Amino acid sequence: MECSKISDFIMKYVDGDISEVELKMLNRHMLYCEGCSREFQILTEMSKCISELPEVEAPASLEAKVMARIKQQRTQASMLSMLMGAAGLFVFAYYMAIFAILPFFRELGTFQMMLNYGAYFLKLIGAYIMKIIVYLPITIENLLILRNILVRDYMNIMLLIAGGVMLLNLELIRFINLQQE
Amino acid sequence: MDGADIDIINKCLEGDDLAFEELVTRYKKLVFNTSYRMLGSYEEAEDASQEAFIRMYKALKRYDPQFKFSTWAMKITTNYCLDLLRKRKGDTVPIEEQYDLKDEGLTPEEEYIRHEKQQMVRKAIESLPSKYKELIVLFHNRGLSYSEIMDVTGESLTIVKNRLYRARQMLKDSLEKLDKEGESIWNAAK
Repeated sequence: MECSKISDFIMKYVDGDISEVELKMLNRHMLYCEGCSREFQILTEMSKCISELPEVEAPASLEAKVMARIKQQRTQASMLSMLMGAAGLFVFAYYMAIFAILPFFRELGTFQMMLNYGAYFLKLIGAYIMKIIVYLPITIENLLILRNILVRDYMNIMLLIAGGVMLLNLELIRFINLQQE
Repeated sequence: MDGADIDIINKCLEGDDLAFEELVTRYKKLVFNTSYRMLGSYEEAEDASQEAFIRMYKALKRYDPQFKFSTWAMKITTNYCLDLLRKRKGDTVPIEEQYDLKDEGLTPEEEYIRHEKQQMVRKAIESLPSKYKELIVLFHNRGLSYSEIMDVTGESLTIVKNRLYRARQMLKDSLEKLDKEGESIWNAAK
């Protein structure tokens, strides 16, 4: 008989599921096989030892702690559902006000119109201020670049124009003086 | 409160908290001892038991009365313990020294050997990978049958059997190793 087969019998023995024939074969084998005999001994001892490990007492406060935690979680859950309910109610009320209630208040028309104008002007002013804030630096920057280009590349023409303008001015002054005389 | 588990569970489902408390009282020893054997530490076992009961409370609607409540409770408990063991992979938890009740009719020497053996077995169980540990605890310590273990683990009979055999072999090897380092009390046993 092979030891691997016997190993199966030992497992069956430990399971409490061994047949009489198998038990006889196991016993006979163990008479001369020391290895299997030792394996049998350790496994059965071990099994007995594990089942005899002492039971520990569960903490007496376990129920109270479990129930306290359940209660706490339930409170949290109900708080959450209350918040969700409130939020839902708010959204509902808002849409009711806009789509269902406001249309029935015709006398609110003027007020609504004023509100709209107010909002429009606020928007306009806001947009204007925004434009100034955004575009002013850009405009200044562009002017500076233009000046640089003009100064660098078109100096001669610039001088010419400046001279022309100066001459024109002088002519203008002379003309005005002549008129006065 | 008397009555079958199923009556108590129905009361729980109707919103009776006292009924659930009764259920905790009935099964706390089972749940606590299972967690304790799986985790090896009293404090961790206490936290795990609390969590397991809370999970049961939340999942009670899904409890299938064709299983015993104890099997279902074991399933939730062992699943949670396996989660914990997976998370703590790497860090070992010191095994707590546990003082057993003295057995009647044992000489001090026998008592000593028994205690040493139990310590060693505990150490060896602790060193097993968690899914093997689970089977050893369920079969040898809690005394569950194969079919109950199949319900708890959700595995087939073949897998349960093979895994349990493997677990025993591992446990045996680990004991022999510990025995060589120690006083060879396993080989000396009659």
